[in-house]
Amino acid sequence: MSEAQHFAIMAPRYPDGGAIGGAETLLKNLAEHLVRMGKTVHFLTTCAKDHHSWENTVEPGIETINGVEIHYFEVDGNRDLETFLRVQDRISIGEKISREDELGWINNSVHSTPLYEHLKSNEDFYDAILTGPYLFGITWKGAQILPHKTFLVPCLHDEVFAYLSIMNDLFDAVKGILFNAEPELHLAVKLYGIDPGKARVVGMGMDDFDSDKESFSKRHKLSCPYIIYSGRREGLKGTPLLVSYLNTFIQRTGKELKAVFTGSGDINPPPELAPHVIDLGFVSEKDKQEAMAGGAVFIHPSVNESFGIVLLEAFLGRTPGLVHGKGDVLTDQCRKSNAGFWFRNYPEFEALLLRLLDDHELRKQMGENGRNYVLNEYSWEAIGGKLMRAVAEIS
Amino acid sequence: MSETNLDIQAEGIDVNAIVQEIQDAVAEKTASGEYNDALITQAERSNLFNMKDDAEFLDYYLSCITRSSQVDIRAFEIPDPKGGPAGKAMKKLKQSIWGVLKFYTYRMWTQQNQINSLIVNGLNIVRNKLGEQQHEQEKRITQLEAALNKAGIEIPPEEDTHE
Repeated sequence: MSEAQHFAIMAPRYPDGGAIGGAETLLKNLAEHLVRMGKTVHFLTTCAKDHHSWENTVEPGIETINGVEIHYFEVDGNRDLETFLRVQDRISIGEKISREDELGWINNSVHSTPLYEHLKSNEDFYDAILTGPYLFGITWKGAQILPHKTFLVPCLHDEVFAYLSIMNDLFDAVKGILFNAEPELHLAVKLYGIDPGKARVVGMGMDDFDSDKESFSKRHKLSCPYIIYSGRREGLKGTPLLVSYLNTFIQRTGKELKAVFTGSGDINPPPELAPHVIDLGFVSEKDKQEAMAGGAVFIHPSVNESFGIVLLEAFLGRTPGLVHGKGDVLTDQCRKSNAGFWFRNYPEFEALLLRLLDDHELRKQMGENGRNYVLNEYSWEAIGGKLMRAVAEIS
Repeated sequence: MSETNLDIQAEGIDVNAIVQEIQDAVAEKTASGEYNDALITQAERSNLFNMKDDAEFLDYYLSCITRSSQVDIRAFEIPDPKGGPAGKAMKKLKQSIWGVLKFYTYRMWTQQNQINSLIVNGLNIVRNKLGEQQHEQEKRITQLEAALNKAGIEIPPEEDTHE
C-alpha cells in the first residue's frame, strides 16, 4: 500500500489564538507538520470560535495558513440547546442517563452538515482523516461518515463523558485511534475494550526553544525564585488547589517565593498570598517560554490531562515539574523523563517543593533530563515518523 | 514545617526513588503528628479528588478536622513589650478587654465547640461504621467465592461498574 498523501484533519474549531483548547492545537500542529513532510492537508472546521455559543463568527470558505488549507463550514443552526444543556447537566453530576438521552445530547452538540457533505463527496481524495477531541458532536458524527479512513485523536480524559455508552460506538467505528500517551491508551482499553491492534501512541511534536534562564527575573526585578503555572485557571485544571497549597506552603515554611501564572481565567489568591503572585495573563509564546525557563519549578496540579503540552514546554526550558500524582499522564511524563516529581497531598507537596527549591544541582540535572527527554521523544521528526507508521500499519 | 534530610546525588537521578523516599519520610512525620495543622486541613479542601478513592487519606483528613475543630478560647499571655508604668497600664487594659470579651463570648464559643465536636464525632462514627461494613462484606464475598470455587462454578471477571 502506498503512503498516505492527502489528509483531512477535522476539529470543531481552528485554533488561531491561544484561547482555544489543547486538542485543537495539537491537531493544527500535526497538520502543519504533515505539510512540512510534503503532504496535502485540509483542516476541516467550523466557522465558530466560542465553544459555548457555537456562533458562526468566521465567513465560510477556504484560507491557507502555513501551507494548510483551512476549510470553514457553518455550524448547523437547528440545535436544541435546551435538551443539550439539560442532559449535559445530568451527565456532569454523574447521573446515569438512558441511551436515548445520550443520543439526544450528542445530536444537539455542535454539528455541521456542509462539513459532513464535504467529507462524503471527497471520499476518494482523502487517504486518511484525523479527528478529535472525542466529546464533540462533530467528531462523533464526522468520524462515522468515512470510518474506514478515520483515525480518532481522542484526547481522552477520565471524566464522566468518557463513560457514555455512545462513546463505545465512536471508538468501535473508527479505523485507528492515535493516543497522546500510554495512560490514555490504557484508559481507552479499560473503558471500551478497544482492539490494541488499531491503537498507537503518537503524541505531538514540540518546537524547540532555548530561552535565557535569567531574563524573566531581571525584567520583573525578582530577587527570589519562583514557581510557574501556565494554562487555563479553573477547577478542572487544579488551580484552586495550587493556590491554596502555595498559600499554606508560604505560611508554613516562610520561604521567599513568587508564583507566576500565565494563561486565561481568574486566580483569586487569598490576601496573604496576593503579594507573592505575578499574574501575567495571556502572554506571547516567547514571553511564556522565557517565564518557564526562569522558573525554579513548573507546577501542574491537573488530574485530567491527556498529554500535558505545557509540562513538556517547561521541560524544554530546563525547568523540572511537580505534578498531581492522580494525573496519570503527567506523572508518567515525569517518571519517564526523570524530570519531575508528583504529590498526592499537601504534606508531600511541601516536602517535594522544598527539596526542589533547596537543591539547585538536583533542579539543574532534572531540567537537563527533561529537555533531553522532550527532544528525543517529541521532536517533530520522531512524531511524524510515528504518525505515518500508524497510518500505514493500521489496516 | 517539614524538612527532608535525604542526600541525593544529581548524577543518575531516579525520580521514582526520590519520590518514594519523600513519601516514606512524609508518612513518618504524618504519623508523628507533624502535619496536624489547621492550615493543611484548609489547603486540602480543594484536593477532594483524593477523598474519592483513598481511604488512608480520608483517615488523615478526618484526624486533621478532629484536631482543629475546637475554637481555642484558653487564656493566653499578654506581653508587655514596653515595660514601665505605661506598659503595665496597657497590659492591664488589654487583660481587661480580653476578660470582657471572654465573658461575653464564652457561651457562644463553648456551644460552637460542642457543635463542632458532635459533627466531627458523627463523621468519625460514619467512617468507622462504613469501614466495618465494607470489611464484613469483603469477608462475605471471599467466603462465597471460596464456596463457588469448591462447587466448580466459574466466577465471572469483575465488571467495571463506573457509570
